[in-house]
Amino acid sequence: MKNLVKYLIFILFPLVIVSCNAPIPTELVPVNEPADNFDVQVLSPEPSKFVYSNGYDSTGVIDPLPHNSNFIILSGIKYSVNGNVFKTGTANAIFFDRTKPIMNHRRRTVGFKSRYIGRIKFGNDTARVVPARIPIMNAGVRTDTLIGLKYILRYHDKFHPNRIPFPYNSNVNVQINSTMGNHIQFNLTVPNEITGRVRVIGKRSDGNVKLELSWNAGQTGKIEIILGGIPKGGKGVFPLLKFETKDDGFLRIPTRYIQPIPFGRFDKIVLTFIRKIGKKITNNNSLNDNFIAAQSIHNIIFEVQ
Amino acid sequence: MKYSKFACVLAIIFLTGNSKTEIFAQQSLGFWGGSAAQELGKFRLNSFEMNPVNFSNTRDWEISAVYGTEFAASTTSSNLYMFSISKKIGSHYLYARYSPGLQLEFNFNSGTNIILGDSVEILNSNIKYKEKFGLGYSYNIGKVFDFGITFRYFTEELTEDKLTPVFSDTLNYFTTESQLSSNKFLRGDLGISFSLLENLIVSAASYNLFLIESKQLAVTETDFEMDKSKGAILGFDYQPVKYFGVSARYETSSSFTAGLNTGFNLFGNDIQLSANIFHDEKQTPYFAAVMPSLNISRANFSLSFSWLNYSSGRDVERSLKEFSNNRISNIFNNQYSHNKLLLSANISLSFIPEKKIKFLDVKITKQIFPTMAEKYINEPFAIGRILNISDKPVTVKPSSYISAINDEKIESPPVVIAPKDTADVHFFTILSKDKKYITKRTISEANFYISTNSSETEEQIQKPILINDMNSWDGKVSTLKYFLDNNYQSAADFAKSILAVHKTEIEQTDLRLKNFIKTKILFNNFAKLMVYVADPRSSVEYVQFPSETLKLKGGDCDDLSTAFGSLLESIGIQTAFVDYRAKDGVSHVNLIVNTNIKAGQYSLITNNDKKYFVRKNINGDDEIWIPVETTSLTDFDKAWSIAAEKFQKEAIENLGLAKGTVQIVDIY
Repeated sequence: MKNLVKYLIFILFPLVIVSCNAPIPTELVPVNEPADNFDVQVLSPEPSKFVYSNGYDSTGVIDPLPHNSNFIILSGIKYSVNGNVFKTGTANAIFFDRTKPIMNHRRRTVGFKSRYIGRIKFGNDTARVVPARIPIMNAGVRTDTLIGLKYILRYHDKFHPNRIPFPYNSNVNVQINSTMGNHIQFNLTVPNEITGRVRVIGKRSDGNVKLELSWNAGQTGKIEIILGGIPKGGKGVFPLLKFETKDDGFLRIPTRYIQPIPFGRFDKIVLTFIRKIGKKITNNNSLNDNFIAAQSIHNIIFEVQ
Repeated sequence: MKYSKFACVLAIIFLTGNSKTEIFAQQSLGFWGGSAAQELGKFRLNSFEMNPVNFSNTRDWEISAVYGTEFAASTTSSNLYMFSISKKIGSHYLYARYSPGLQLEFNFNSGTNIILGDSVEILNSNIKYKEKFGLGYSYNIGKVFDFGITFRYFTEELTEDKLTPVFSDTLNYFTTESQLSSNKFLRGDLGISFSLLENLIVSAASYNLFLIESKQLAVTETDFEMDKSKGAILGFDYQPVKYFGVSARYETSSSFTAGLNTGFNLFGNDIQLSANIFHDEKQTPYFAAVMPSLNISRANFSLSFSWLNYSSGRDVERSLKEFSNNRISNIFNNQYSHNKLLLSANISLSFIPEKKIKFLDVKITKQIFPTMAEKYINEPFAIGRILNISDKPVTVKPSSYISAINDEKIESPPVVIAPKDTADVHFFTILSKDKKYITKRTISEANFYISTNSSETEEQIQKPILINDMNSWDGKVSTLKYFLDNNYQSAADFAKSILAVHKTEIEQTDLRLKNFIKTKILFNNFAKLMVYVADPRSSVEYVQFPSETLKLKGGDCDDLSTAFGSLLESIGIQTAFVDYRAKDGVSHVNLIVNTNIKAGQYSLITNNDKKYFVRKNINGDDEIWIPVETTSLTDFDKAWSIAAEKFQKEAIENLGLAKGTVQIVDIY
């Protein structure tokens, strides 16, 4: 017996040494804790990049639009600034001709010419055809450049009180009567109206500013929230960060995302809540490579002390 | 309020007693199930978790190591759980352990992902709980009560990937970095156990009683801290027979455990089998796990195997919310623990021989009379009762030391005791030469020691003992002779100076009557000088040495008999004490003297056959002996007649010699 124990020790000892490793970590999964869960992206447009200023909204909150050829987008937009609320809405469509690139001064392709494809109706209303001008950064200078035509339909706002209201929470029938002879028709689901709120906690001078965001929860799965600033003396919005999170009505943005913002460069901070429903149409000769979506947008313009 | 309740429970337990047992339950689940509960265990089975009292049967040094393998769903990991060293010093026990394997790690997604073009980068966090080392101290009181205190050092480390955006005029981007924040804390606990019966032990211990913390975790990160709620563990161990026992522990958090153990001896190895089942408030199902274990131990070595088997499957992925809401309170055993196989090796480095014998009691049978020192060489002054607790015959070596009369330990004859048997051992003593002359009665401390084959003392008992002064006497005539030893020269000088005066008379006497005439001359001169004086009032008999009697010129019967006997013996005349014991307890002593006259020549001194008797001398020859009453201080003839008459009546006619009421005690 004594020898057995001795041999056992001699056998086990090397095994013990060889097989030593760290304990197995347990993986913890964040479930049912959406308030602190989000995906984040820093928005950093390249200086020479093609800029399309009406992607999400008309404030210049942009990028990155998908690299598609055709865009059909319904946007219900709401602004909250200084306690006032303004509503508007547009239906936009633009169709690029990939055979006609637009070059900058360095002969680099920054976009494409747009084209007319026929008549487009959103519900019972026909979209107007207007010139499409977009800002292009050329040698550091922003230049509005005419790239062709685009389609636009404006909904009820304070400037167009006689028009129909934006069709939140409904299906909009989109008809395209192509000059090529093809007629395309599909229903586009419009999300319900999004209404957000921002609560600023802490002070910049104390280095502890954080944001608590809340909104009316929706059914679209995820929403996007874009944080940007209105440059001093400038127009439009300079986008900084994009957050994606569950459309469940609440999100905390920690201090470490807010404090680095160069507040000195901006007059105001803008938070844009975007609830979006996309549409895919495939196997169509006229509308391949398209991006079709309906979205509800709420821009909240505020200051951080 | 909750603390006061806890303190009350603890106070009651302190007052009612405590342990030599191990305590373990969910908060403190041990590595070895119920095996450690066996009182027979020679080794500390290495964990504070089950032994907050910190008790160990270790006799000296002990080192141990615990190695374990944890089995997750598809992978295993193995670690050296801990290494420990302990030392017992008398009733004190010190213990230290290093525990690199006592760590627990969790990975979790911080909830934030970075979108990088078409890809997504996940921000991760990691938290590690470690118990790095532990210290323990325990103290044993009276073999039945143990008090222990333990300290354990923990760290909690949270590593988070932190994301910071950088906004510049031309380019916006993210930077990421890992941030480490940590907590460190020292946890102190108390434990007590008490042996209500030889085979029933009750115990109690605290958990998280004292906490000394160094916090760095931010307030928002406290969800990751260990649960450090305070509580108590109460338990019992009952071992009705040698190889079967039951145990149970209850925690104030409502968790509990219960177990059985059994065992047998195989080729000299103690084999111990045990099984435990437990319920944990934080784990499911109701009985969260079973823990069978096997322990094999020899004299200086122990090997243990234990299998911790959880009743429910443990997913590798768990909810972060659940983790925050139900935080872990124990690194070794918690709701995230996987099945474990544990192996422990304990090596005893004892330099103290194993205890084989037990001193049951010692009884002092005799007071010490310094003048009778010679007597204690042959007669024990104390008798001890010894139990052999080993399985083999043991030779017990008794020894003793009395500071008032000894310079060193006095060894007594060894005794062999059969296994599990008891025996009496006798303690003898020898008075140091310079400690014989004691002039005052004192109470001294007698130290009794027993040992086996080594020189180390295994057991020791102390008892008070009365040490009498030089003149004290136990009242037995048989011991009166010891008073003649002292100042023998002075007796000889006295006798010779008198005989010298009567030189002519002695020389003209018949040679056969030489001793008779010397006795007569000495007595007549002795009687002229002496006066009868009773002993001083005292609780013990008082005897003067001959030199003192001659100097003081008086004494009682024992003083005068001793003195006159000393005179005769100093000139070669054989004498003996005659001890008369009356029924009323009053004793008397006088002398008989050998005249050296042959048995048939009695007419040389008298024809009265009641005034002499025949007795053998040291050579076995019959000779004429005459009694002398030393208290009759007139003349020799009268002293002879009185003594002869008393001897004839008490010893002969009343059959005193036969009945034992009269005894003759030879001086030499």
